[in-house]
Amino acid sequence: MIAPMKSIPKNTRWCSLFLLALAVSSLCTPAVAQRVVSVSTLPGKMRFDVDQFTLTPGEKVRLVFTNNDEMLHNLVVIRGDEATSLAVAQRAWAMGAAAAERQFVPDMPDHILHHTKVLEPGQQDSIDLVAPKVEGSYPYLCTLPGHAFSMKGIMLVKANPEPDKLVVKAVDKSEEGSAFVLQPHHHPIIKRAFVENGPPRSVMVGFPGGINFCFDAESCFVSFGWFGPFLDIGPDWGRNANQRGGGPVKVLGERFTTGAGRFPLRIGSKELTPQVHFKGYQVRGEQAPTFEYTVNGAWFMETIEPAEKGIGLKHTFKSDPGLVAPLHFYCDRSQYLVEASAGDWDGNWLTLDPEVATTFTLQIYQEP
Amino acid sequence: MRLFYPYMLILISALSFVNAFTAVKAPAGYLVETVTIPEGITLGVGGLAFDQHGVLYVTTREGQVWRHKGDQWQLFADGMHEVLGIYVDQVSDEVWVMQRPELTKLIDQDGDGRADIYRTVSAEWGLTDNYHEYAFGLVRDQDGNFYGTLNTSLSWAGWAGSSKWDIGRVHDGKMGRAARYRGWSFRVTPQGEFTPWSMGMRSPAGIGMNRHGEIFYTDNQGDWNGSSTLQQITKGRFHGHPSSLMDHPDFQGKDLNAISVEDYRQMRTPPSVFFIHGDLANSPGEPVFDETGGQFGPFEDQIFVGDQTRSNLMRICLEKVQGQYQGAIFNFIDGLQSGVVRNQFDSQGTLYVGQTGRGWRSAGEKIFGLQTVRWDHQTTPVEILAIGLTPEGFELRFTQPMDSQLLASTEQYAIEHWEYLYRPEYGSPKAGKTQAQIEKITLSHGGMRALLHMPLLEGRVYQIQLKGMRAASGGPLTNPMGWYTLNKRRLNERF
Repeated sequence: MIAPMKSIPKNTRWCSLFLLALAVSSLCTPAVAQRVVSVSTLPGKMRFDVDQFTLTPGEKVRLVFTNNDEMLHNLVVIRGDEATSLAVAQRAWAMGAAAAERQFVPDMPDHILHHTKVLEPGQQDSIDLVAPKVEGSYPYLCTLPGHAFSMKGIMLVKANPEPDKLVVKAVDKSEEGSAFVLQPHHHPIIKRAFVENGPPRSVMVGFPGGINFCFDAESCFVSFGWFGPFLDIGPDWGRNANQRGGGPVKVLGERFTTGAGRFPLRIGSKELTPQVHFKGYQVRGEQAPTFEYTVNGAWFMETIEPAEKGIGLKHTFKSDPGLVAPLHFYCDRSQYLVEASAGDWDGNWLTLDPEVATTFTLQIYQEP
Repeated sequence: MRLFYPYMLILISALSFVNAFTAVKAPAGYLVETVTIPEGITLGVGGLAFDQHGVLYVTTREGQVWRHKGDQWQLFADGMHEVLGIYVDQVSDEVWVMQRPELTKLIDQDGDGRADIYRTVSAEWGLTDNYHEYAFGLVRDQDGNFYGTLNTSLSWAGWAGSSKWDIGRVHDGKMGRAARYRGWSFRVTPQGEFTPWSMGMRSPAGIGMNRHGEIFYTDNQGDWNGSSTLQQITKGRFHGHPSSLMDHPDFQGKDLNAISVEDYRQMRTPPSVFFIHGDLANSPGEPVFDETGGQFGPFEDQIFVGDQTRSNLMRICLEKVQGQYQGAIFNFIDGLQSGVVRNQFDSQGTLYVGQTGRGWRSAGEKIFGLQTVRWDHQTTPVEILAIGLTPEGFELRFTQPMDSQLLASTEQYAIEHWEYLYRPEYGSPKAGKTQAQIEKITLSHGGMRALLHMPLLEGRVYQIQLKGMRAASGGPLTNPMGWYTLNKRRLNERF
């Protein structure tokens, strides 16, 4: 689960082959005296090693991106501001299966100026580019899921740049504080701990796409979700001999509410608040976790994962096959978009007959 | 795990410990070795258990469970909330752990070596975000019932996680009750039924069970605890810290502040053994019984327990006097690399010592770790084997014959006694410290026993120091002090 534990794979053979290819290709093209701007990463920090580089309008440069990190990255230069940057990233994360073959570059021709391929650890790619004629700040980012929150920088276009600020290197300050970022890269991860402004019995689940949630393991519903990086678990682990740990972990992204804010299921009567008991959860590799609990003694399994669109969650319920009374699910539909695989709505209540309640899916989300 | 009151004390005492114990000091024949933990693993030990195949399970404060054998380390479970105890079934290999919020069974259903089902067995106790609400474990009786202990909540401003919790306290004691069953031990049946078992615990950082199914726990010095203690857990017993009584049916609706300290004293069962705060231990952990059949030397059936602050191991011998356990404590090994919280014997009688120093500035150079203590199966250490009571006075037993001239000389003994005050204030001085005189010494068993004839007082802790004592073979005692907690005198039975 903890990224710093992993050894860093070094695909050195691939890397040297690539460099050889690069050398050969440079022999075949006419030599143009042009500036090279090199960008790599701060390994393990989810950061580019360059915060800003400056070009003059219309300048021809070769931008070389080297992935010296332990996970996949790309580098995308865009036209727009920080909000545009996040929008590009979100579109990239929503591409699903098509993302890989399209290098995690969404179809946004008005905004995307340049991009590298998605690079495996140890790989390198370069772009020969001509700087825009218009002065200004052009953001660059990595569009792999969740990376853009911290993997970002500015390509500054300026007629008379300050010579000593052509390349501003990133400074790693992460070791100075107690931050210890837990970030899912390939599969969901779970962390139980106290969390700021959360229930004491919490199960936090993070997904590579940047949608995360906190499940209340006492009341058995999603307490809140958040969008962005997963957790700073420094307060829980403690980072040195003087820190006792055991403190509330920090949610790193932007929180969103979801669902009822209380246990949403009712058996038989909508009015009767049921007795719920948490029974644990299952985790299997790359699959989303499945929570288990009893509702008035009836066994329920609920798999929770990011919604297929928007910002929100998809809940797949499997209920006790012995259920005889109808099941009611509450959700404030004035606040959320809800899609249910079965049942009939009456205001904010979805009612499912026992025969369709054995397996059903609800997606509760908001537009980004 | 414990708390200090004056912050300055933390610094001063921590520094002095570091200076005092830079090298391992162990009895002859005992070898301390350090287990290499691979780079990248944070192993703030919270629980240790062996399975029947000799695989060591290590649970951590960081919420993980590691399996270790030889030089192999495998992550078995992850992402839990501070795992401070574990039980592994010796036949079925089933694994249960104590997390802060619940007792959990870990199931590796697909057999890939990694738990995939985290089954909640019981979560009946209250939990707030209060920093100090630890849950410790884990032992299991022959009927399959689990036992664990629940820490009280901390009332100090800034330390409690949140001000929204109303922390019930008694007579202004610093620890209290923010949620149900804080300060209780509990039993959970195999079916998951939770029963609060005994109450009056403060910071019950370690629990252990002997081969007869008797359960003991250690409690840390603080309010209502004049010094750290070893106590036996029996159903319904009141161990002395009163805020837990808020969850006792007999005290519903009653004002616990209207009950006097003296009345609480009458209700409580006094501890079996006091650890000597400052001299021996500041925050003792898991008591483990030497049931190795002699593979760990001459201390069969005695208890080994470590200290989280001083990074030492101690040894305890118990006897039943007037129906209750009491006994003596000795230092055993000093100079371990980090704070000792958990101990387990492997099948060869090697003691595995689980360590964490994070947050309390333990003695030693490491912030966490794992060490082993092994007896060489040959050397008889020069130690006081046990101290017991006879109607005439203390009987000292040794691991080997002592120099009989020294043993018979009252000049060789320095004995003093004191009381640890039962009170809501934090800790206790050694109150009423008094020198004791030996009237006569009788030797027996070829110089392996000495009976110190002397009058004895109940409710006192006796410190017995054997200044220049040597074995007949010449060697000095490695640990020449013993402390006996004398709750009751022995009237006529024999030690």
